[in-house]
Amino acid sequence: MIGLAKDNPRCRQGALVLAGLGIALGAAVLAGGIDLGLHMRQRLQSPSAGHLLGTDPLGRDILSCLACGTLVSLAVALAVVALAAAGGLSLGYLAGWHEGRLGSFIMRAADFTLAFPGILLALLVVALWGQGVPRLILALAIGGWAGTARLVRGEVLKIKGQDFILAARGFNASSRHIAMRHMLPLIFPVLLTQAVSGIAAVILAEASLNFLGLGLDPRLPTLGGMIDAGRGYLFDRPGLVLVPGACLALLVAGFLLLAEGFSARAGKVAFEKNSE
Amino acid sequence: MTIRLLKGAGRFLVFFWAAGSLTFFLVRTVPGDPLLEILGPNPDTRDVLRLKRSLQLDRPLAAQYAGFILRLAVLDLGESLIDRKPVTATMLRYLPNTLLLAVAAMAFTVPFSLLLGFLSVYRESRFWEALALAFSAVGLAVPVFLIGLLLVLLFALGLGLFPVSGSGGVEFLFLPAVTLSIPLGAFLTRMVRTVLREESQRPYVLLARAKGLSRAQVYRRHILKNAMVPIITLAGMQAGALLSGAIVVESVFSWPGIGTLLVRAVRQRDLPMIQGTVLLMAALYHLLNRLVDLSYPLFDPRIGHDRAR
Repeated sequence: MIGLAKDNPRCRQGALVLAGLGIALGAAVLAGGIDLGLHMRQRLQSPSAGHLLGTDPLGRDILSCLACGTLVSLAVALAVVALAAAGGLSLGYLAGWHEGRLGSFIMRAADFTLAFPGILLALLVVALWGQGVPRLILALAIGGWAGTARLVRGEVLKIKGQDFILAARGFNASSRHIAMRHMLPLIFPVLLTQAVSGIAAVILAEASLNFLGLGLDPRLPTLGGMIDAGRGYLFDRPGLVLVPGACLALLVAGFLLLAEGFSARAGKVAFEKNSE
Repeated sequence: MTIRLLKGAGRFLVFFWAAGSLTFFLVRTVPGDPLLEILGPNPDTRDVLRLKRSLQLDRPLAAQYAGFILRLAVLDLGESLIDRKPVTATMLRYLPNTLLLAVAAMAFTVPFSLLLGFLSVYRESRFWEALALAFSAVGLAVPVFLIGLLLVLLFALGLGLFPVSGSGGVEFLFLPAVTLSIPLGAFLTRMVRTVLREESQRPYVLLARAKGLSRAQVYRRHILKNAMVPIITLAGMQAGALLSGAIVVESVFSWPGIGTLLVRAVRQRDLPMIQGTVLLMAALYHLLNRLVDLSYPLFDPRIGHDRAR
């Protein structure tokens, strides 16, 4: 899958964007070091040798915040997608394998989850349970499992009736063996595509929540939070909004490109799943 | 048609009940004691009791739930903890603004993306294709609040044409609606392209061309009509993006809609208001989806024809 993806131009572009962003941030941070401390005397400074991108309204080094925010976005998105994919894979698999009551109950639950538009469910959970990284991850994953479950169930139903599964059963293979050795390799490309486009969607959702001031502790630099903090200085120091904004857009674009490349491989339209 | 309507209404009621129950039980899982946050630390015991009674928290959970569902049936969602006014009345005051914003965004985005998607396929020119691809790439990757801020920077500062935030006349609607329409348009343009390209490779197109119809005629009489159903479906799927985008866009422009109300309620931990706005948003989304379902027969006579009789 990964080997094949190398030939795809979209995958290459996506990897290039992400690698470029990573190298630029990494090199700049290695050169200057990370300093997230508040220096109120050095508020809103223009770019200089000490602060390559200047300082924010709290006197923090913008470059350090940028690196930290990007890492937070990536970590949260990866955790959410891993959690949602694991939940969606197992529940979707169950629903496809046991089509009876259990299956229809799982699918009802998935439909119900999908009936809440976009970030609304995550917003509700964060609103009620409060802020923090683990809660945010949980909140975003609650909305994310359903799409994966639906997708996996469809794939399982498609594969289940085929002859090689019947043959495996004829050889007295356990359901576990069939699931791991015969079905998972076929489901995996589709799942990977959805997971990668899911990363882009989660990064956007997380940034939106932080922009609204409802995601993580505002003291932790996040890309969405930086844009929110820079809003008040939009006309005097547009860089406060534009720099984290560009970083965020590149990050999302990188994953979208990767997802598009994978989807060409998996023969599925990835951006359909990424509508919200 | 009547049966379809009744079925839709039934599904809506079931969904509304389920969503209401979910918010009811989720609110009960709130960590800490929300009453203490309302009354402040070390409150008077009588105050606590009075508040508990007014929120009906002194009754057993089952009775609270039954009361909640009964009041939900008459759309009574309780009082806001902040201004003590009924939640439903406040929401009804803010709702038209959100609907106006959503309709305006759709009014911008649908004709624009249909046209752009169509031209980029029909013209077969590098320019239109590059334009459509660039527009959809930017619209998909740039978060909607950033688009809003960029437009503010561009228009309100550079050109001085439109007010930056607030509400009032049409000029206040322009920037939020355009902002909201860009990510939607990006997605829709892409979908229109995919659907049209797929449709134009169908065998009936070849037949129609062989019959002697011109390219324009084939598009007008056959391809566009057949492409309508998938496009409507995909546009309908965007209703969710429209509503959750509205939450963010309203906050950027201080547009007094449901999204602003929700975000403010979350900041103030106004539980009944959070519950009400979330329910309203979910119900709106559900209704929009049902409307899209109902609209299919208008575009494809094959759908719902046998059941309609």
